[in-house]
Amino acid sequence: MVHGFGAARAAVLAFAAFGVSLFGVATAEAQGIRQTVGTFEDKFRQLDEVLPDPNVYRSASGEPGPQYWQQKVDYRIAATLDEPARRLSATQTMTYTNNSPDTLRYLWLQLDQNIFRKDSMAELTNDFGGVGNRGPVNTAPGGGDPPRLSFGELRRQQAMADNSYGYDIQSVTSRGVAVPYTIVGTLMRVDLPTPLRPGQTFTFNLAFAFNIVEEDAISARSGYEHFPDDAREGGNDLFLLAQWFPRLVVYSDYEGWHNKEFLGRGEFTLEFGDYDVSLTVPNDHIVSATGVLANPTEVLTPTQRRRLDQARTAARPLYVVTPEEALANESSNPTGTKTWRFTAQNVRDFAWASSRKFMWDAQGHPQPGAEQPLVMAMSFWPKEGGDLWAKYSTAAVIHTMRVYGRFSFDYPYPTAQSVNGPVGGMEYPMITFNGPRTKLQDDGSRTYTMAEKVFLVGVVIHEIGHIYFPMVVNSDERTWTWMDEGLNSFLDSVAGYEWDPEMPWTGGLPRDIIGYMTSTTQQPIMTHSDSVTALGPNAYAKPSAALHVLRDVVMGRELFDFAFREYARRWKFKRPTPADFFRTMEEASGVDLDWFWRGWFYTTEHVDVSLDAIYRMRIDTRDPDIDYGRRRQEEADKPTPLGVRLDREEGRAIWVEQFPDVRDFYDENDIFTVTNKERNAYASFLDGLEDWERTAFERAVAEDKNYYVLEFTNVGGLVTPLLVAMTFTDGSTEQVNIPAEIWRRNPEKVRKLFVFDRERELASVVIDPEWATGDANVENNHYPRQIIPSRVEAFKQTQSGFTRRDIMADINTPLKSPTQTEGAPAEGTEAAPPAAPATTPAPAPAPVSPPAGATAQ
Amino acid sequence: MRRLLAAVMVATATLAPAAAHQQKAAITTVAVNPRSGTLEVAHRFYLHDAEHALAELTGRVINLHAASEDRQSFASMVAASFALTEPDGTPVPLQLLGSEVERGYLWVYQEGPGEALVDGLRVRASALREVWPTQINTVNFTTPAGIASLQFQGATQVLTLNLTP
Repeated sequence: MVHGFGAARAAVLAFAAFGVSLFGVATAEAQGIRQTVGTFEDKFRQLDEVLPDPNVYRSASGEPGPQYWQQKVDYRIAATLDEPARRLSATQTMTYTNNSPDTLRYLWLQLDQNIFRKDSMAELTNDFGGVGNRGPVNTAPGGGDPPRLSFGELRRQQAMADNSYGYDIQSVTSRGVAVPYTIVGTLMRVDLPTPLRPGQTFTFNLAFAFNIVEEDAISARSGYEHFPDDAREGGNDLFLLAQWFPRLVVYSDYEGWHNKEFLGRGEFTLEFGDYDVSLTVPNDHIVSATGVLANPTEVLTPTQRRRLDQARTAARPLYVVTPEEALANESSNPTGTKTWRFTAQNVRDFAWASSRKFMWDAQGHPQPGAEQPLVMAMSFWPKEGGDLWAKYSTAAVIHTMRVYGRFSFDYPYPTAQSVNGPVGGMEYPMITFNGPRTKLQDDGSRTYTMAEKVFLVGVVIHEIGHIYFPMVVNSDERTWTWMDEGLNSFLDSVAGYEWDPEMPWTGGLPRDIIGYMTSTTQQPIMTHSDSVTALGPNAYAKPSAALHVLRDVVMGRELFDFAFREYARRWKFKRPTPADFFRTMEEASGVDLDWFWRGWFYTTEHVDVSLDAIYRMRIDTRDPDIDYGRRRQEEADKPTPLGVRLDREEGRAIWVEQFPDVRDFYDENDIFTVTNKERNAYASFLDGLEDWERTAFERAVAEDKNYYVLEFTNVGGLVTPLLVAMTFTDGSTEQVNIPAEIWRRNPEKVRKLFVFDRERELASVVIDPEWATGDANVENNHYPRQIIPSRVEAFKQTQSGFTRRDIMADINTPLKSPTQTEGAPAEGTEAAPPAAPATTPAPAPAPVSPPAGATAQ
Repeated sequence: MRRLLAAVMVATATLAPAAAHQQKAAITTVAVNPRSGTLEVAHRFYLHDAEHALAELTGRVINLHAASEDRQSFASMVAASFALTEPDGTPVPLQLLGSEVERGYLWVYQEGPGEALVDGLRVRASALREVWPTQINTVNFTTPAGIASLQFQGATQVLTLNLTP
């Protein structure tokens, strides 16, 4: 027994030590609380035992505690891009400030480029044909099929064999003296010459180089992309540099060093700091980077500088480098190098892009009264991005800042950039990489599909949104993907619908996640990033759906928006954990949400409530002269017994008709006849009532209201508010929203009484009429039940209907002349032009070209 | 130029889920319709995923909103990649009904005999998994006892439906 008790205590201590990352398994049972007899489950049990204990660093209210601290790391980097060799060399000086209460004897750095070494843990542990690998697909043997190696994998193997990837660490020094270091995979320990006490700083230097991977071959989050068909001899490259320099690992109050080997899936979290980065590149390149360009006079032409200045107050994006200039540029050769210097304050990383293919547009986004009164929204893209980028990229950057600013805080940096390259979508401070492109048609034009347009607008919103979460609200994506992806997916869906609700968005709403939530392969949202199988539904779509339910159903917009803004305000430029989010949302709104976090984030139940039955009731008056008459009518309303009806139809003579002369008292008085015996009993009933009872009773009898009891069962298990939409026989409607707390004593079955005036009779009821709660089964939401056609049925029914029209394709149908429509094609008849070509975009109204005569070099 | 574009599309498609949008996850529901008694199969894909996958496989530019022939090709590809086999080895005949676009989703529908939904059914659901390593296909079987799910990911090719508790 003692041993068992000890083990239980150890388990609790383990939770405290590891924080909420283990909470996927933290049921009430794991907390030592069990319903040992009976089946009751308290779905409203507070999360007290599940959340980590508050301390001086993190308060019980979800705020940073009075002694909250975080480290600071400043970087000064000088990097040179060797374009022909596709190699980067750099020196960097790091100043590490120890704000922790601990004395540090060593520092850890992340060497993310080492993931591309042939002997990296990621490479060695690559499960052939296994789950969740980034990169080319292979098929393991199974199901009678032989194993297969894809062309993509062959290309990757060849790239790995032909090139040497990973860091070449050339020196680590401090004040001219070599500092000992130990490389452990994608990590490096630097041993400090003297212990670093609280409040002290340590400055050291590092020289390194690495060969840049080909993004398309290796599948990284950065690298170069080669354009062999460009007019320039040998083609062109486009470089995206991210996770490119050795970066200090996070040291936090809840985990110490976050020194986990980089395996590719989990992204990263870093310390905030100031950056001063000089990038030396071929002198015909255009560079986009985290921060602000500190030496525009050295790298930009007077024309480009003037255009940039004009863009600050422009109403639409203006070109800084026009498409024509970019096209000319990508056909030329460099005559030397240029050094672009960028500075950035209070950022947690630095990324950049460089190419001679870039066109560049910009537009100022004013934020009156903010710490950054003017943000430069900018986009960089090669001709392959086409009009899709010209029209929507910078516009989407600005739209994001407008919407996210309302939900969190004013954009806190001077620039917000969207760069097109080989990466589908990735975020860094002030700069994002976004993949959507146009397609070159045989006639030389560039087109894009509706889905590609949705992808472009959606991905720019999403990646720029990441500058808020997690680049500023610095949650740890290597552990909790949902904390930035889920919150950001929620906000990007809000921003998407505020862009154009008619666009075919996917993924963010409660109705989109039902398939995943009803599956038996679902995992709790509170699962470590590296253990989640279906990351998209788990860490993006489900938390987004949950926050929509929270905002529009559980809390209401006013309370939700206030609490969400408070979370963003509290943790701006700080490092929140899930508990800080859960606690803040509850503290700031005054709404108990433990049941919601428990159900949506800690379990795999889903929402499915069934409206099983409706009972109608009427108050008895107790007055026999009234009630007995009602009973008589109720009896009369029942159907005639079947046998009696059939007897009558057969014309069978009955006894009383055959002997009409034999009558007695009961022929004149039925069983509902009232006598004075009942009247006296009624009088004595009234007599026996207290005054207040009589008043209440008489009023109820006089009002004679309709009483309805609705009976609900919880099929899915997840407790949820009941949105009860009622339609009355007079056609009027009313919706009553019942909080989820109705399930607190019985999470399986509840009843609810509704009372209406005599003339208001209920005709039908539907729960969750707007599909706002994620209810998985619509059919059992209706009373009386309705036949809800299955998707397949509905599809078959509408085969010939309007929804089957493919207008985008059909609009290109040439108009036939009357002769043609009769079947004889008319010679030389021209087809009428389509009203609006479905896939060919009109010339871009924006960005606007600068005044004539303004040309770049 | 075409070849280059195809390569680019592969790259962006492969990387999209890393940080951008929750894609590479298809959901299929299999249920017996109580009114018709038939087995109804509804596959849901992201339209954007479908376009990029078909573009890679064909080397052509694909617009599934507008090009009904391409959409039919995609539907046929999905139908060919989804198979149900009875425990005795008999393949369950499934008829391809067609496809439709709903917001950003592409649905593909199939129909078969209702009696086919039995314990021990062998299932293959490999759509798009030859194109992308991260594609996860989840198949939800709706049974009187609730939903039973099979998840196709990694090297998984054939799974057996187990309806016995």
